[in-house]
Amino acid sequence: MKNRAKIGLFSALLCTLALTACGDREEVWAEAPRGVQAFGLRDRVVVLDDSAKRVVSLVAAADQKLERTSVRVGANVASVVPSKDLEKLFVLSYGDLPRRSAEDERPSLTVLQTGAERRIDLSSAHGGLVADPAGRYLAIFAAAPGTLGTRPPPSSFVENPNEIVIVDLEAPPGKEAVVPRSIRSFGGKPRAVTFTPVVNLPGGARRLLVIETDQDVTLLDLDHVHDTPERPEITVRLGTGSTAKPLAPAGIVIDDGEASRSDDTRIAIRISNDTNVVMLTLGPSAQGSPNDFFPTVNLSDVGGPAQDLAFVKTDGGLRLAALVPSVRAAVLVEPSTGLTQKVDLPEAYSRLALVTGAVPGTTGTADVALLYGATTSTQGVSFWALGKTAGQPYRSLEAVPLGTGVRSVLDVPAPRGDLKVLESANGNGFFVLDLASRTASPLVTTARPKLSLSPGGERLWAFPDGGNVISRIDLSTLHPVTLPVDRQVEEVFDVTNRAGGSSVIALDTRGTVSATVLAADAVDAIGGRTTFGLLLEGLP
Amino acid sequence: MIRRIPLGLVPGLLLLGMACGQAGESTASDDTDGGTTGPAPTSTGGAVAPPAADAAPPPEREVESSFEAPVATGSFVWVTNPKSGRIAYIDVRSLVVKTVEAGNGPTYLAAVPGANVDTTVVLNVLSNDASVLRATATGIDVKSVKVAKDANAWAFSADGRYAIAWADAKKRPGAPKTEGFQDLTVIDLSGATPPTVLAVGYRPVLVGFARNAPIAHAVTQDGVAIVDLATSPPRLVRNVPISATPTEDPGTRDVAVTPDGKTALVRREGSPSITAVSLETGARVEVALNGPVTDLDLTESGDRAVAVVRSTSTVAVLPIPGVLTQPTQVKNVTVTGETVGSVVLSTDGSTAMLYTNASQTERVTVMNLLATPDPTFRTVKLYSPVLAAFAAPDARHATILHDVKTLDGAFSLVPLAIDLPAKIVATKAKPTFVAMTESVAIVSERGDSQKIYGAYLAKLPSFEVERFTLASPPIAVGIVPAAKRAFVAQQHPEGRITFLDLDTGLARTLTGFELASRVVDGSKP
Repeated sequence: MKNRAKIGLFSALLCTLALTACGDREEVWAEAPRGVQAFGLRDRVVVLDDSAKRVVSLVAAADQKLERTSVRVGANVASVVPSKDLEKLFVLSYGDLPRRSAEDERPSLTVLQTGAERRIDLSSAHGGLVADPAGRYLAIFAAAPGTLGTRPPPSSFVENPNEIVIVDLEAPPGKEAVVPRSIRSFGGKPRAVTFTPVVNLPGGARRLLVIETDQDVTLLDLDHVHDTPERPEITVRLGTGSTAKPLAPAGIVIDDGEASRSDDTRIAIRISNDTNVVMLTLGPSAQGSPNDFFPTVNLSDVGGPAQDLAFVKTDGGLRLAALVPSVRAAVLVEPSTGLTQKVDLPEAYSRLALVTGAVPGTTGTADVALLYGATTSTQGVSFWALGKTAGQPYRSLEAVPLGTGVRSVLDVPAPRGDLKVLESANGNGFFVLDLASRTASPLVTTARPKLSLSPGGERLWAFPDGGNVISRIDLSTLHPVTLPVDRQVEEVFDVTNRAGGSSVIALDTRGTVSATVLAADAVDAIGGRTTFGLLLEGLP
Repeated sequence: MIRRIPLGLVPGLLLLGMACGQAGESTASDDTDGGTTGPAPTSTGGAVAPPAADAAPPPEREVESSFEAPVATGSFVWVTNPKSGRIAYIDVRSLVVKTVEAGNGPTYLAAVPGANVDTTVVLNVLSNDASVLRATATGIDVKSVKVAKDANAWAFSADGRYAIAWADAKKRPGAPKTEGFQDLTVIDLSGATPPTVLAVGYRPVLVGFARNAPIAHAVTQDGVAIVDLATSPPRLVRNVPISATPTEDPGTRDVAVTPDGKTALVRREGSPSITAVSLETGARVEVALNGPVTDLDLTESGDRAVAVVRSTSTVAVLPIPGVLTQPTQVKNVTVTGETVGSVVLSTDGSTAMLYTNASQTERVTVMNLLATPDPTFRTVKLYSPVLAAFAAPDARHATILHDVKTLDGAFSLVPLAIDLPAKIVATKAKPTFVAMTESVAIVSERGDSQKIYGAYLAKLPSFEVERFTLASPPIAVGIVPAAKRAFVAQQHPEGRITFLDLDTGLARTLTGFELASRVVDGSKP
């Protein structure tokens, strides 16, 4: 492997010298790559090379060679987001700011997918990008400074924070794909956007865009986003107006209600600075309203700021479950009446994940939730069975002590959805939680690991950030295999290779980027290949 | 004994049965000293005090409470927020909440009867004015009118043209004796004449209007003040004394005024006679009965009054106005074998419910007042002592609240028109409020110590009862028949109301009226 690597480096140097000898070089040669970031898709890894206004697509061949393709993207990348199905990559660019000449680029969005690229020019530059999980829409908006995954603009400029640009990738004939909308503002600025699934509203099946600002929530009907005249959005102001303190939304959850009803879709909003959760029930609108649905607002006091919400099925019907770690409790809210039932918890859990489908033996009438806390103050997780027995609003609460808190929970893809990977809060390892047997197998590391799951759920890759080994854990046996790599590792992606098998690509994103490719089921590094200077190829 | 409305709700929509006072009819107690309101199992959920165990039974108890609560008109339920200065109005069909600015400290809200459109008025206690709110096609039209200081109560003419804002001293129990609360503000809601402030006698206890004449009256400790509305501005034309003894303690008397405004009937605690006073001529007639009169009630039409003498279990039917000229032509009926001290009349005046809550009596007597030659009666056996009675508007059914000494409680549903047994319903906490229509009754319950709050919806005549748990203490109930919804207003800092669909039984709760009103859908520029 090392010999091949040296040959690759030598070739790159020769190319460099050859280009240097051919007259004026592009400016990109004069600077080190910057803004390098890697993203894993189902069958490739895409490396962003912002200084060269391109992405480099890396596809593993059957012999672990890397096929490289360079695709031009807009200048000054703001956000890069993969689609939920990992088939596409969306690259949002600020463009050249300010534009001094006709050659300077406008803001743009580049949609990358196998065998095709689509470049969409935008009229205004924004940094926030959210992809519709269903794949049809994108929302582009002014992300708040410091938003994770969003790069700052290259220079200062005036930005309308309430402009939301909706990109309809399946716009009907005759309609523009790009629909800019300035949402109504009472002083708030968007912080997060959420695409709802299809919900059954009084006017028919709809998809909504829910925009959370720092003081209100806006509902935009995506199915009428192309309407002329414009169908106005609905703004729910989260403050009584009696005080200057608005209620700040901190996350939403959605439930479509009963399939036979069109007036029971609900959106629950947790509030970061208040003990209430806000419930919106989408019912019929009054005559004369430009929208054919209208939210009824309801407050439910859950005793403290809710840290997580989920709509859950119980034997008593649908409930909103709110986790309130400040009172070590979960609160079940009956959506129609606002009645609350407090459930004391053994730990101050702050996160909740529904695991009903992965738990064998569940009837479907009641959910099972996994409770965990993203802090070191909690010492494990709990399974919360939401069936009801006399005297208490749940059937059982079973604690699984881990001796540490849980930093995050990774969902193992199907067909191993019965497994969860729990990252420990103390950084000393992780646990593989088997929802069926309710066992939590610890895997110990000497440093805080970075984790990456294979798309098929067969393997988990763990590696120390910046180390030169990667470890594969077979999720059937939990047997770990440690593999050495030549360069330090910052990212690991398990991808489908050209032959239909699986390869693992370990990236060193420093400098001009190198990658080591191994068969995903390799027992050692003998068959691996390392390629250096990936960003030195394909340059103009 | 006269009971007051435990809710500030709309006559005709939110019928509280026979225990309700009527907007156009006038019945009141001159009980003004110290604001004694009797046992109040209503807003506080407190237990009703048991009668003393001495030989003489205590007076009949008044079951009432004084608080501000939502009011309903045809399409809306209205709720004030004195803190924000806004009034929330909820579309009863869509449950869409909107707010409108009122004055400073909008507190005392009332629905205007007889108006063409949904209309309410509210007294703004901090700005000493009133806001008149009318629903229009485009929203709510608000007009402000100046009112006299300390006003905290409303009276309306039957046609909705006139309103009188007045000060009920019972709502100011700590007021010094030198506060007379004597100013009435007469408001012409048509706007034809400007508001007029008139001074009447000391501490009015009741204000009302004659049904078919431009005359208003105010029952005060100095007599009944008569206001002529036909003049511009309206003026006080006379004061009719209701007692030959000017020094009589007014705290022991109840005064009822007939809907036509022509006759006042006065009952005095412990007295065996009723005083009938012509408010036109000032003539007074004493109607002697066979013992101390413990309760007196007028029919809504004002054609007769019913007085009860507990010591002899006598029910006296007084023809109005005939009794003024022939005071001996009173029809006395003895309810043999029963103790009756209280009377509640049905809206149509055909039926009287007779009972006592001064002792632990588990029976109610239903009397047909229209039977000839004499009223007939039957006694219905109950299974818990009676506390209060409420009748449906059609007088076919009644709801009886029971006086249970434990933390829980009970109520009974009683057929009035047919001789069928009553159904008793055990409640988890004390029943507090009742509203009835011809087809449904709603009873709320409140147990603060147990934190139990609920409402029972009873279908009539089947007596099928369903309980709904409430998230917070109920403070009022009502029924909006046109929207087929009942509602239970609850105590909550942000405002809470639960609507019950009378057809499906589905409950919908709204909490946070101010927040709910701040939804902007782009329907207005």
